[in-house]
Amino acid sequence: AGSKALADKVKVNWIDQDGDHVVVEADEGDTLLEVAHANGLDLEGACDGTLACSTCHVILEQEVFDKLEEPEDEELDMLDLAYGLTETSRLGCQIKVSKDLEGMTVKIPEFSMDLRQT
Amino acid sequence: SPGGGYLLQHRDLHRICIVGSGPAGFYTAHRLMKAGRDDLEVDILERLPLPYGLVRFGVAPDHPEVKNCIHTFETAMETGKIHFYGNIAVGDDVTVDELTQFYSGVVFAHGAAGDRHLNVPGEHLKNVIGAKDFVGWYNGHPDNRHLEINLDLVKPSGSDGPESNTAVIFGQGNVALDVARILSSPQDLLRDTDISSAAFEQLASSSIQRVLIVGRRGPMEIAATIKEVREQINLPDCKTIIRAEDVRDQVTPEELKALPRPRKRLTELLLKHTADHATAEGYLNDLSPRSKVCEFRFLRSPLEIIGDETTGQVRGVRMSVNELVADPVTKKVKAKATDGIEEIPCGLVIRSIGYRSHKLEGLPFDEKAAIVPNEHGRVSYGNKDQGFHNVYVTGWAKRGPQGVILSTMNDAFETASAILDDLDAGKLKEVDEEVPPPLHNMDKAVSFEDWSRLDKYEIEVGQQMGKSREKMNDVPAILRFMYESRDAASEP
Ligand SMILES: Cc1cc2nc3c(=O)[nH]c(=O)nc-3n(C[C@H](O)[C@H](O)[C@H](O)COP(=O)(O)OP(=O)(O)OC[C@H]3O[C@@H](n4cnc5c(N)ncnc54)[C@H](O)[C@@H]3O)c2cc1C
Ligand code: FES
Repeated sequence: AGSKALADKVKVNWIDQDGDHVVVEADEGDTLLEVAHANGLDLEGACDGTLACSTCHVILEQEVFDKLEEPEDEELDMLDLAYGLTETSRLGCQIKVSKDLEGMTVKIPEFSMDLRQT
Repeated sequence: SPGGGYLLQHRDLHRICIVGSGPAGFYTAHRLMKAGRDDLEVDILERLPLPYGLVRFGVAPDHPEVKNCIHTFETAMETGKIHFYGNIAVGDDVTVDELTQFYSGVVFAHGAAGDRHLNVPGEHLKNVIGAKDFVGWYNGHPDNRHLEINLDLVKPSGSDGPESNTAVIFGQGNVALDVARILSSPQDLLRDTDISSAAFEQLASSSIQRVLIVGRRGPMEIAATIKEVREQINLPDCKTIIRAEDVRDQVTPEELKALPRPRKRLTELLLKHTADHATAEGYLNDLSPRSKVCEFRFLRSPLEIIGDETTGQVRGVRMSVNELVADPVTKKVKAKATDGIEEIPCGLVIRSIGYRSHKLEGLPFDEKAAIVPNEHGRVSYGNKDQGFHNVYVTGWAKRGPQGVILSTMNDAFETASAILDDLDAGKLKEVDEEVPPPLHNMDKAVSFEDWSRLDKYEIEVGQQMGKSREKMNDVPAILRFMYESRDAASEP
């Protein structure tokens, strides 16, 4: 992996839980969860990307969301449990970085204090 | 002095004690470690000689992905600043007061170990079982290894009447759906999991073919999440029945559109599935000997569990037929009994109407909500004692026994933030001992290394049997393994 050509890199902008902006070079084919972990961003991923937890919830821009293939029922089922769900929410473990997404912005939802909702 | 040899030299140290090693405890520890403070260490005390709470003893064996959160906990342990003390029950082996006195801060993450009862006549009958015990039994919890349960209802009771093939589950939450799935799942989906072997044997020879999941309210109030309902509907060799009229009458297309997304998608799933067939009775008649039926039954509350006087065995349930009334103020929908009554013959009743936290001596407890009262994780001590307390709570003990690991994790992060804020504000005292006095001379304690050896051993034994793990569920045997393998591990 160390000798990846520059052409395989995709720029991804992140907005982390504190609202800070971070720009990273991501490997094409990696999931957003893997990119976050590789760059020390705070995205949990409790089930290791197996669609069983929704702790990898991210919010995308509308254009990026529209470019991606529709999420499967299983992903939507897990998203239903996510805090701060939006119209352009996805699970980070299900989205692979591609050239097509160069310059995309990924927002990690703010840490929710409202835990009393069911 | 008993403290001799434990003294630390010239080091400012804060030591946090976490009571309970379920996801709430471990995610709190994980978050505390992430702060990267040199002056912070964590001791986790656990009643059982094994870590992870309901991740090991609650999460269903056919949901191994959910247990992957353990990898995060193992990574947290690698910091070397978290110390696991298994086989130490707070309340019995050490008191709450001792902990708060000798630690910088104490976090209660002891979960909800009790379960709620139906409080109807006949609940004492044989084969009327709490979901907590049933789940503990198939997941190899030491407390439930001797559970008295009979799944082969035809022979021992001498009857092969209608009750011999039916199980009734009261409750429609995720735990109820886990129980229903385990009872109705083809053996092949369980065989190679970490399910308790003894439980698997009994499930494999079970006579139960029909499982009813009964809710006191309607389909719009199902507490389970869509993933679990979809899984039940898609289960091979099992027909899941949702009567069309039960759902359609409850919601107009306009109302459906206006629902919050999770409720809307769940209701759509139910509607789609009911549309597949006209009546349930057909399926019950056509049942082939191997396949099973699982039926959602709405608007029913248990009135009585009916049993056989001589054998003490359950033979059926009597239920009220309910209607829904909306509270004029809160708009919350409640079930109200009508004159209608329904009786269903059955040979097994599982109540799955919730877990319950219990009071720990020395810790405030809100009896009504069954939680430790708190504000964002800081335990509230009421009016008379308002000073600063270095006591926190997290997980099911904090929020009540509901919510998936995601909510427990968020909850743990909130409590960890409170602790870190209090540390920053200088409110938490320093400690000067590597091992605090309450843990001196605790020879019975087991360590994370002890657990790691058992962990490996369980996986090895499991693999020889063609399963992911074979759990040991007998505490004396577990301790013997841990103590004895210690000597072996320290040999050159
Ligand atoms: C049957 C079932 C299935 C579930 N399935 C899923 C699922 O598929 N997906 C999902 O996301 N969530 C699931 N959950 C929810 C999840 O398990 C909980 O959100 C979570 O375990 C709560 O964590 P906790 O740490 O508060 O409690 P627990 O996990 O119960 O941990 C409490 C720990 O404290 C210990 N303890 C108790 N008293 C003492 C004492 N006095 N001294 C020392 N230690 C003590 C206990 O032994 C235990 O280890 C399930 C829950 C249940 C009950
Ligand atoms: S990491 Fe669990 S759903 Fe993505």
